[in-house]
Amino acid sequence: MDLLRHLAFFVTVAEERHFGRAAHRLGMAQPPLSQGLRRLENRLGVALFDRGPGGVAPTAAGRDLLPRARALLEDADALGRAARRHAEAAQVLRIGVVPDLGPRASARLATRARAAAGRRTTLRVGPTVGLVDAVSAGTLDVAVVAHPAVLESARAGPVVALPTAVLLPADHPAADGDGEVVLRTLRDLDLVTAPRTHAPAAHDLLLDTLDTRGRPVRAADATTPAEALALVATGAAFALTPDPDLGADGVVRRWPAGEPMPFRVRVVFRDDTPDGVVDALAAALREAAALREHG
Amino acid sequence: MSGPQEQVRAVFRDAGVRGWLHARPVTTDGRAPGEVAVGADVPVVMASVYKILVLVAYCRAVDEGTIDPREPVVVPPARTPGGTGLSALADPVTMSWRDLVTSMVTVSDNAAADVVHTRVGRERVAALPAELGLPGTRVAGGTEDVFADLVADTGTDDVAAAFAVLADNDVPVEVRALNPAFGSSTTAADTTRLLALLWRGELTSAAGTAFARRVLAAQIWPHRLRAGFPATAAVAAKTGTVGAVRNDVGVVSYPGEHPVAVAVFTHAARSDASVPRADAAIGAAARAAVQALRTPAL
Repeated sequence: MDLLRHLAFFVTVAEERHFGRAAHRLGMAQPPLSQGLRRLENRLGVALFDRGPGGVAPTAAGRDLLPRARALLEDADALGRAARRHAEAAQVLRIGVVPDLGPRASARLATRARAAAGRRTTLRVGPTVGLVDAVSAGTLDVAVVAHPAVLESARAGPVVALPTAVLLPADHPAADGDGEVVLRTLRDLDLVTAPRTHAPAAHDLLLDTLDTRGRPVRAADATTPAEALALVATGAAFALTPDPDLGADGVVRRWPAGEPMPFRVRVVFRDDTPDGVVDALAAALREAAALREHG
Repeated sequence: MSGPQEQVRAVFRDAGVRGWLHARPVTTDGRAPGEVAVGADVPVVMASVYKILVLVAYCRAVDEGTIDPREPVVVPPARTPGGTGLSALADPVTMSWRDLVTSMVTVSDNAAADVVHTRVGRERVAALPAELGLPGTRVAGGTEDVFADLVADTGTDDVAAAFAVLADNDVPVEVRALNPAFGSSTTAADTTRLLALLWRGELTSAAGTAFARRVLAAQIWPHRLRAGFPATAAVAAKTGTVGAVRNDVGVVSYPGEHPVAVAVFTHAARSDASVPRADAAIGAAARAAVQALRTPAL
């Protein structure tokens, strides 16, 4: 018998306390589930469940064995994941980048990572929360994400503060001239930014910082830079972007006056991320930060 | 519909914190099925939650007659800093042992905690976890020891400057005070076991148990566990805070129901000294867990 599959029956029935619901969760019919459990009990030589009129409940032995069954299933999953990682890692370096950095910076990061690892490199663009989860789960090798973010089991390098420019509607009074923009003068505009769920802590910090600077804002959600740009171009919002290329007709780019409004990023990685990749990415980010300071 | 574990994880994620939680009715000592556990066996930073163990050691010393709760104690001005209680005061203070303990628990008075901790004995508090069957718990020292490490690790001259370094979002610092591998640590499951034992009166005399429950119920902070429950529910709890670490652990009692012990430990992504969402998340997570465990007392 397939012990792991039968242990999954055991754990699911124990969690659901109901054969019908357990069968539904396992995507199978109830009779083979019941028979499978009987076979498992025969093999282990002990009854795992009391089957009464009121439902099904684990026996004392079942309760004692349940954590071990769970541990075996989790280990089997981990084994499969680790094997897949080895299989993939030998060929491909998988990196993730948040969309805010823009296509040019993302391509540069991929190029640097590829040079450091000496492997074919794939790039995934996505929100911080998803990228950190992917690095923690091993489906990405390394990612550049917004800081601060909850890191789960991922490791993280130093924080790099990328300067941001203000994008505002060309017909807004604050767009006159070409000097720095005082954020307080953008009173009638919302701030368009990635949805809070993409990176809750970084999002909250940005809004609190603007509040501190005398410019409390309402945030408008844009899941991509293109959406943000459209809201700015149509006169509804302003945006803060670390991407020097982002722009459109009807949109003006200015530096914010006073203290910079950095977009903080961090390289998150795993214990098994290839040597040199993290340093290469961090160096590329630091160069980008320095370039814009002088640009 | 999502189960309590998923709800708790969603609350932590939304607040931008890593979180560890365990909840169980105080009437049970076992684990499954009467529990809600999210990373409940993972080592976490205790911060001022360790003061519950000092409270237990104090109650036992009173039971044995080695401490007179009414004896006046002079606490000189050179004492552990902090924002509350004797720590916030400038001049010598004379208080009884029981009032020092009350200040330690109700307002998390650091100075009072270190004085009481020394009086009951560092080694006695350090030995308590093993004695009480809390294998994941270790009390490495008092608040003044944590502060000394913090000042050393941040390369600063005093505690205020060290906390300013901790609050910087641009330079995440590696300090022992925020790492459960160093200093005092516990697990969420150990903490609810401690609370359940205390609540059931198994750690100290009836008078000691009543005192311990009373001071925990008098904790003044409303923004964490307390914020998760309506006024009809009694909440007796102890917070713990250091930098991005925010904890609150306690017992929630609805009228006519079994009290539920719940321990919530968090570590925020943001370094800011104040993150109201992280505080509120502790109450929201505890609420999701406790709701799943409420049963009428027969």
